[in-house]
Amino acid sequence: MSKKNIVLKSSNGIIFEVEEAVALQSETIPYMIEDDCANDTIPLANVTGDILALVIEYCKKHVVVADGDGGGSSSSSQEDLKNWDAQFMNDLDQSKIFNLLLAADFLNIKTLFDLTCQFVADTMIKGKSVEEVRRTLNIEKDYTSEEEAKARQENEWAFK
Amino acid sequence: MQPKKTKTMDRRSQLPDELLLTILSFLPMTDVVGTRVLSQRWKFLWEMVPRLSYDYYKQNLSHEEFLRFVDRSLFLHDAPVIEALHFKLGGVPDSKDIRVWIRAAEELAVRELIIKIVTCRRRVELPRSLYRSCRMLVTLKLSNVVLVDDVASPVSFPSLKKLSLKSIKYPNDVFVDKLLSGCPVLQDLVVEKCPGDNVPILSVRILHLKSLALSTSEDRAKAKPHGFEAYPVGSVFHRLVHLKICTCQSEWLNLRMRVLSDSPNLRSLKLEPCHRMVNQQRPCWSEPSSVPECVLSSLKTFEWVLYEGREEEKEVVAFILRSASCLENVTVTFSSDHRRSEKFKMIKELSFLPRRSPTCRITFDGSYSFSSEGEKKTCSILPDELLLKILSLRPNAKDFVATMVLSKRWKFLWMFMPRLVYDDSYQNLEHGRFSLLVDRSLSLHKGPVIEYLHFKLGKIYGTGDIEAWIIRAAEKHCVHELIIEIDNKSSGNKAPVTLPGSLFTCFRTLTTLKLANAVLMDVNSPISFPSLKKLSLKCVKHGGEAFVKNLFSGCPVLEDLFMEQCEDDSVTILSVRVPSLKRLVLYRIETIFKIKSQGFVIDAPSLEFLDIFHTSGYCVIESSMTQVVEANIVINIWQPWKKLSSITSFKRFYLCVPFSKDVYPTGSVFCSLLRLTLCSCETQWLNLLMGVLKDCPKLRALKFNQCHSLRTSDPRPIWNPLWNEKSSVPECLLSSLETFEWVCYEGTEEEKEAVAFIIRNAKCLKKATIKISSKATESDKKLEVIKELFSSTRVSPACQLALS
Repeated sequence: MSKKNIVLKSSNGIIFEVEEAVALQSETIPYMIEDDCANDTIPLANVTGDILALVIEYCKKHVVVADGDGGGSSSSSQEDLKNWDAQFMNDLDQSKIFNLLLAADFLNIKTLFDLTCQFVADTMIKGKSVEEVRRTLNIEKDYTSEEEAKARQENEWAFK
Repeated sequence: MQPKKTKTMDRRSQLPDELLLTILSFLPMTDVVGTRVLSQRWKFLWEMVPRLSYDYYKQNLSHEEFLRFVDRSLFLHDAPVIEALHFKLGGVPDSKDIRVWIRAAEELAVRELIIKIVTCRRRVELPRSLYRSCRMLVTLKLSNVVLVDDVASPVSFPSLKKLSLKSIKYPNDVFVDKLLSGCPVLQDLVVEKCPGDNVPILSVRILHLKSLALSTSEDRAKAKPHGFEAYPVGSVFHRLVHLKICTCQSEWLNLRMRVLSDSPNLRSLKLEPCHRMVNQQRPCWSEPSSVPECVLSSLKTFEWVLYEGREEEKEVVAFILRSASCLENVTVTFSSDHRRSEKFKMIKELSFLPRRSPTCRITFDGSYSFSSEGEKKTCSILPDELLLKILSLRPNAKDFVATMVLSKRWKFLWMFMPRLVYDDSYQNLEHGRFSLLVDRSLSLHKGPVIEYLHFKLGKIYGTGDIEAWIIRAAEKHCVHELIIEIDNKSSGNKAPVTLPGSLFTCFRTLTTLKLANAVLMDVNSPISFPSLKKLSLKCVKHGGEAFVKNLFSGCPVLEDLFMEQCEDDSVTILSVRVPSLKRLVLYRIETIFKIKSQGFVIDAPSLEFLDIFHTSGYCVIESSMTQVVEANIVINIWQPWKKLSSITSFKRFYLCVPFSKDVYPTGSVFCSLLRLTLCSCETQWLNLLMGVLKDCPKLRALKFNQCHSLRTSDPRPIWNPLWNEKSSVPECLLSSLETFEWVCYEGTEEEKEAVAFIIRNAKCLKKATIKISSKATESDKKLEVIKELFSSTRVSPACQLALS
C-alpha cells in the first residue's frame, strides 16, 4: 500500500509533511483537503509551527497504535500510551499547553483536546485556592483589593 | 492555424453566459453596451446584465448624449429582474428624466437602487411613484435629492432592509416618520444631514434596526443648541448591532451616549468624522452616571477613524476600554496630518489605558498592534467555552464557584458551568455552609441547560434541604443527567434520606437518572420521563411493585437499566417489562438463602446485554430476545430457558448456575459464541462445562472463574474418565480455542484433569494463563502444582503457559 503524504503549513510558514493517517486524526483537515483539492499544501492559519510540531508528535504516537491492533487492544500498549501522554503534557510549559488546547480544538482532534483539558483541570484548578489558580493560570487580577473583598463579601456563601 | 490563439478564444467562449454576465456587472453601462459589437454571441448579452451602473463621470458623452444613452439602454434592457441599478449623476439632470428612469426601474423589479447626485446646482426631485411601486426594493440609497411628499398614499417598501439618506431635502417634518414607518423590515439605516436641512428633528423609531449611522454635515449647534434630537426619548433598539456615529458635530458625544444606552445589544461601534472639521467649540466629556448595558455585555468591536487625541476623545476611549467587558478589537486610525512623534505619543497613551476585557486588542492605523503584555501566555487566549469545558472536568461546586473572584472575566463564567457536583464530604464543609452553597449557586446559575447534576451526600439530615434543591434545579434549568448518591457508611446509623416525589414529576428533560441508598417517597401521580434513557437504582427503597410498574411505564425510551435490590427490598419478584431496553443489569445479594421466594422476570425483546446476579432466586425470560450479544448469568435457582432464539446470538457468555441439565434446551447451539466463562464454584460445574463446550463450535476463549465462595459442605465434582476419550473431545477445542484462563486454580484432582485435558486437546491454543489460588496452597505445594502443569503435554506448538 502506497502511503499518501499530506503537507501542512503553519501560520508562520513552516512546512510539515506527514503521512495521511497521521493528519487524518484531525477531523478538520479532511474538510480542508476537500475544499482545497487543487493545492497540496494545507494552510493552518491559526496554528504556529512550534505548536503544530507538538500536534504532529502526538498524532504520530497515536497513529501507530490505532492501526496496530484491530479492536482487541492489548492493555500494555494502552498503558504505554497513557504514560507517554502524561510525559508529553508534563514537558510542556503553560503557554504551549494553552496554545495546544486551542490547536486541538481548531483541528478537532478529540483525544488530544480531552487530554489537554484534563491536564489543565487536574494540575491548575483542582483543589487550588483562588490565589493559586490565579498564579497557575496566570490570570491578571483586575479587581482592586476593595472590589475583590466586596465580591467575596457579597458571595460569602461561596467562600468559607 | 496558430494553436495558441485558438486556445485563448476557446477559453473565453468556454465561459458560460452567466459568468460573462457576472463579469459585465462590474462595468459601467457605457462599457457594457460597448461589448455588443464583440461577436454574435455578445450582441444581446448586455441586455441581460443583472447590475446596471450609470456613471456620468466615467464616460465621455455630453450631457444630452448621456441622458439619451440611459434612456435607450434602460428601454432595451431585457432581464426579468435587475439586481441593482446605480445612478451617479452630474451636470444638470432633469427631474423629468429621472422620473422616466425610475419607472423603468419599477418595471424591472429592481432590488437595489442607488441615486447619487454629485453636483447640486439644481435639486433633483424624485417622483412620488417611488414610494409605492418599488415593492421588491431591498436597498435604497439616496444622496442629494429632493423628496416630494405624496399626501394621498402611504409609503410602502415591504422588503426594504437597507436605507441610506444623505443630504436629502425632505418635504416636511413628519415625512421621515412616514417614510420609516413604511419600511417594516428595515435593518440598516444611515442618515446624514445636510446644510439647510429643513427637518431639524429626525425621529428613528425602527426598533428592529441592526445598524445605524447618524451624522450631520453642518454645524447646527450654534443655531439650535438642542437641535439634534435624533429619535424620540424612550425608544430602545433591541436589535441594533452596528452603530456608526459622526464625530464632526459638537454634540456628538451626547448623542452617542444616548444611543448607546438605548441599544442594549450593540456589538460594534464606529466613530468617524464624515466632513472636514470646522473649528468649533469641542464638546466636553462628562463621566456618565452609569455604564450603558451594551458596553458592559455585548460590545465587541470599537473603531475610531481619524482620532485626534483631544482630551474628550481620550476620555471616550478610556471610558470604553475601562468598562467594556467583552471588547475584542479596538482600531484607532490617525489623521495623516499628525507628525510621527505625535502619533507615537497617542499610541503610547492609548495602549497604557486600563482594559476591562482580558481579550481586548488595540490596533493602530492597521499596522501597529499592541496587545496586553504577555497575554499570549495566559489562559485568557482561551474562549469561554473552552474554559467551561476545562472547569467541567473538575466540576466540584466548591472549586468552581470560587473562580468568580479570579478576575472580572471569571465573575460570571461559573454561572454557565454545564456540569455541577455537590459533594458534602469535599473540604469538610459543615452542613449549613454546604446547604447555602447548593442553594445559592443553583439559584444564581444562568445556564439554560445543566448537563450533569450530581449530589453526593453523607451528612444530610431530613428531607427539607434536598427537596428545596430539587425544586431549585428543576424550576429554572433543563437538567439532562441527575445523580443523587447518599453515602450511608460515613453517616453512621442515621435515619435514611427520603427523596421527594417531585423528583419523578418535574424533571421531564432527564436522559439519565441515578439514585443510590435513598428512600423514595410514594408517587401517586403517573411518573413521566419522556426522554430518560439510562436509569440506575442502587439499594433504593420504594413503594413496591406498584411503584416499579409506574416507573417503567413512565419511561418509554429507556435503554439502560441498572437495579440493585437491597436485602430487605419489598419486591420479591422483580418484573422488568420494558420493550425499549437494550442493557439490563439486575443484582440481588442475599446472605440467607430463601427458597423459591425471589426472582427476576424479564420481558425485554430488544435486549443486547444482560447481567443477572441473584444469590438466592430464579430468573424467567418471558420474551424471545434475538439480539443479545453478551449475557452474564449468576443464579441460584434455574428456570429452564424457554425462549430458544436468543442463544444463537450470544457472543460472550458468563454462566454460574448450580445445575448441569436443562440449563438451556438440548439441541441448541451457540453458533456465535466466542468467549465463555464458567464458574467453578458449583459442584456440577464440570458436567456443565463439558455440556456447553459441545454446543459452542466456534469458541475462542474459555475462562474459569469463582464468583462466590464454595459451599464447602458439598462434595467436589469428580472428573469423568469417559471425557478423555477421543470421540468426546468438543469441536471447539480442536479447531478454534485460542486462549484459556483459570482464575482460581487450587490443584485438586479434578482441576488437574481438566487443565490437562484442555492443554492436551486444544490444537490452536496460543496462551494458557493459570492463576493459583493463594488461600488454598502453601508455597511448596504451589511449586509442585507448577511443576505438574509444566510437565503436562501440550498439543499446540504455539501454546504459551503463564502462571501467576
